[in-house]
Amino acid sequence: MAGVGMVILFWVVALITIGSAVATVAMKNAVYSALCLVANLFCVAVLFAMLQAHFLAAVQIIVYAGAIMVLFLFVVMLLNLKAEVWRPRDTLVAASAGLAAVLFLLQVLPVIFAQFGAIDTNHSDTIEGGVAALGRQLYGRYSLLFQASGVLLMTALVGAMLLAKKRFKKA
Amino acid sequence: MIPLSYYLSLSAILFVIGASGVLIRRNAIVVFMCIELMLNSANIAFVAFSRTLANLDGQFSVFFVMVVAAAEAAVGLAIIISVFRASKSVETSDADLLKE
Repeated sequence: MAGVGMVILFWVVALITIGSAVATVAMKNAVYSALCLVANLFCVAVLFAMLQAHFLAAVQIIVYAGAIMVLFLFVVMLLNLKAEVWRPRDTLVAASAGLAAVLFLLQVLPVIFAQFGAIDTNHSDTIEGGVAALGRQLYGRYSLLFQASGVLLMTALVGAMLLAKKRFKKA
Repeated sequence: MIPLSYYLSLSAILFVIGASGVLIRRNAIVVFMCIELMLNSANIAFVAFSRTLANLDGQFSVFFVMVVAAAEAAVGLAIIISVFRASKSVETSDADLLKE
């Protein structure tokens, strides 16, 4: 793996990730927010691939960016909302949230760099990533969790259909 | 090449951006999108640790987090649609029926 290329790629992808995250929060139009979030999810998939989690990168693009965000965009366009009105109180709320965010980062980032600064993510004894290794464990060690997540998805499916169903008035 | 702390600090920054988005925005759908941002930041941390410790368990956690996020997004959006049908608004400040 080329060393300098990976470092440059990481910095570029990290900057685009953070930029699209800030854009998701800042855009007034909900459709623009959703599109910025799609860009963010793509960058996260690139980060997964850089960490040799290729299956997860593919699942991230197929499921998160390809299904969940499409669902979001459907709802946003169905509801056909206008852009949010900027009230004067919102400046105070935004400033307070920003201050809280900066304070939190000031606390957490030094601890992260002190604790994990020296550890490198590149290992010579690479784990056996990919679909085969994940599948072997998913149907072996985690089979109960797998079935439980199937039940969870079924429940969510039925629940979402019930909640969003139109009530037909009886004649 | 790329230290673990870089991935973890990226995860922390994304989490904080998502959390402030939940606090700032009033549109319920955008609040939901910021929650997805926070979930993604946790996923980055999981995968980074999984790679560092050479253990696949982190990747399984990400798999199940994605499952739960999909289920939660479906149900949450259905709830938002129901609330919109009742009150014609998705602003969080307009959902005040339980207020004094």
